[in-house]
Amino acid sequence: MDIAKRIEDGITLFVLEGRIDTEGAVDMDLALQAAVSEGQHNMVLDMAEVRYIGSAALRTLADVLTKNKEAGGDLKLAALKPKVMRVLRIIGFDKFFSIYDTLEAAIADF
Amino acid sequence: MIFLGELRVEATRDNLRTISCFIHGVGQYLQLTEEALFDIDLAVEEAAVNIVDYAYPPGDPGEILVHAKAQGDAVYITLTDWGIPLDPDDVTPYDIHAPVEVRIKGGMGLHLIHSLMDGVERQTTPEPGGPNTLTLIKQIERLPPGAHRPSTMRELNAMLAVSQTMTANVDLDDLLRLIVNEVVTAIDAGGGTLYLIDEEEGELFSRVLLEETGELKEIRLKIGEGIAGHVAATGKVLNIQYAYDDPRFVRSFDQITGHQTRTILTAPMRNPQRKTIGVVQLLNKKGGPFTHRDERLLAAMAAQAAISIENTRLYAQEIEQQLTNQELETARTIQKSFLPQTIPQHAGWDIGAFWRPMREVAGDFYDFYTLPDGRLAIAIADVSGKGVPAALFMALTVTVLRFAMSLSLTPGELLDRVNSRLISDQRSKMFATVFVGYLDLDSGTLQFASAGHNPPLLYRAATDHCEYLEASGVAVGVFEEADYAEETVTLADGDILVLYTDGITEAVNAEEQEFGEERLAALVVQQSSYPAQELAERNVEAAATFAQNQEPAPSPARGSFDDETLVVVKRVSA
Repeated sequence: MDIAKRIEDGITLFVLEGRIDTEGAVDMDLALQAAVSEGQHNMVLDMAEVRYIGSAALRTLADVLTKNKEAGGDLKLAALKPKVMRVLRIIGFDKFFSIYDTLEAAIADF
Repeated sequence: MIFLGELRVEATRDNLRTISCFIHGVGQYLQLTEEALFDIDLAVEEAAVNIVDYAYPPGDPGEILVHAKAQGDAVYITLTDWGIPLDPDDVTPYDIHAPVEVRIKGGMGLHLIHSLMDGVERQTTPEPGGPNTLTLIKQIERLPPGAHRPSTMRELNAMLAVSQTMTANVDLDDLLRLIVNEVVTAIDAGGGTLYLIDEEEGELFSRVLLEETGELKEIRLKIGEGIAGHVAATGKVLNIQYAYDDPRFVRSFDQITGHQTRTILTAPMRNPQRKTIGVVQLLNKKGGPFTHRDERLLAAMAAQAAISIENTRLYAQEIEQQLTNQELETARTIQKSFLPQTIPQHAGWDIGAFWRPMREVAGDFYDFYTLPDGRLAIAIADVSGKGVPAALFMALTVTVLRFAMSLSLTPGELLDRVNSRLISDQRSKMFATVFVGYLDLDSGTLQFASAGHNPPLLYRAATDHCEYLEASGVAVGVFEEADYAEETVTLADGDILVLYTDGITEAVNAEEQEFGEERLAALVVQQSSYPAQELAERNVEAAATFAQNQEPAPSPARGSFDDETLVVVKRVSA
């Protein structure tokens, strides 16, 4: 799992790539929680290259979303592959997260 | 049921990726759709995480066994642990209506598993340490039957679609048996025989004999001889109504079977290049002679069968070349995980082991196992064949052997059990030589038995000579009735037990001389003062050097023609 971060116009953008399995979720959790503790609460995850997502990653996403919302921010998800989207639907997360077809759409919605 | 593979790993987070690699290997074999593989991968990971996190006490991980099989239209993945069974009632049920912060508390993994799989079965043993299994069942999507195909062909086409999907596991004989069964049923014949052509000998040989009277020995015919030989030579369907009136009919077959052939329908199996690769023959149509419709049907089925047989043969030949390096690397990683992760450490004993596959994967393995009575079981084995098929058979053998070791059997009983299990579980005609010894770490007594394995060397410090540990017994996987003799020796201080596979002793030099047991024995004597691991490595290197000697530019293929495995057990002053 690769993760890259950049900040554009006050929005923290994470580009994720590969498998966010139990092992990958550890890296993602470190990166996202670090941003949360630095007060970056407006986040977008570019998930176009995410091939796999498991429950460990979903726990991190839910936790970070909750923290961001409490701080008046958000965690928006962009460009999910259909199989990743399906997992979010099974878990019912599609109702909690703002999900966008493209990265641009996600950024524009802040 | 088609056994696909087994993986046994320590229940740690680090091994979750290994399990995923194994699942991808299964997916590759079954040519699963990306979606189906994704679902299975995810469900298996969630199930494995539950075992890692909850079945075993922190810091003391037990094992996870992942078993994969295909049955009917479904793939079955079973995860077994020997820890504290999961009580689904203890898991907070996943609430799809709860707020997001409540949802992450638990039950998410189980919810995903149940949502993604077509079936989930759980079996637990109430006592701690008993096996707990979770079986995940996923339907395999079949190819849709082609609408343009004639209806009589639908069943065969469905069968071929499935057999092609599973080519990696269906060995040729299984496929041929399926074909004969299918044509006999479709045409309502009393029996059937499938012959293949042996080009070197210019002969036909029977591969499947489906008779009312049961199994027969192999039949060999010259091309042109008998009815099947005639069809092989002409490439034309032959429908005979009165077998005994036909001069080509070989009556001696009936004398062997003891029943009477009346009608015979024979069709050539021709590949798309119109080359005849074999013949399929049906006997004794029920309720009258074979009809014109039967002739056309058998001809069509035989053509389909020829394509399928050729595909399977090509696949068997090319499977290893087709595998990419990455896949072989995965296979090798999985295979290494079958070997002991650590060498046993016991006061008074110095143990070393060396394992080197000739190709990316091997048919050799060694194993250590602490028996219920405290003795250390030491095993070494060499599986027939090379490469991927040998590696798959090795996985089966390791699994069967380890399971048998937990049953408090003597070495001879153990081999007997392994033999019967291997015979009942596989029809691929592979076999393995195995040596197994139970070492009493206090007394130095070694009780051993051998299934046709190279006799290990025992270096005696007192005489500075090597003995051979011989015990009679045939390789496992060959004969149902096998008898394994048990012998006992005692290792004194300084004595060294050397187990090896024939990759060591059969290393050949440029002059076609084998390294041989005597050279190995002489080396062991000469190097008896080295620590066990170094001794093992030095012996392997000596065999490799011997084989490369006098070769101006030794190629990697030269020298070691086989997997090389060596285990050294040395008794030292405690």
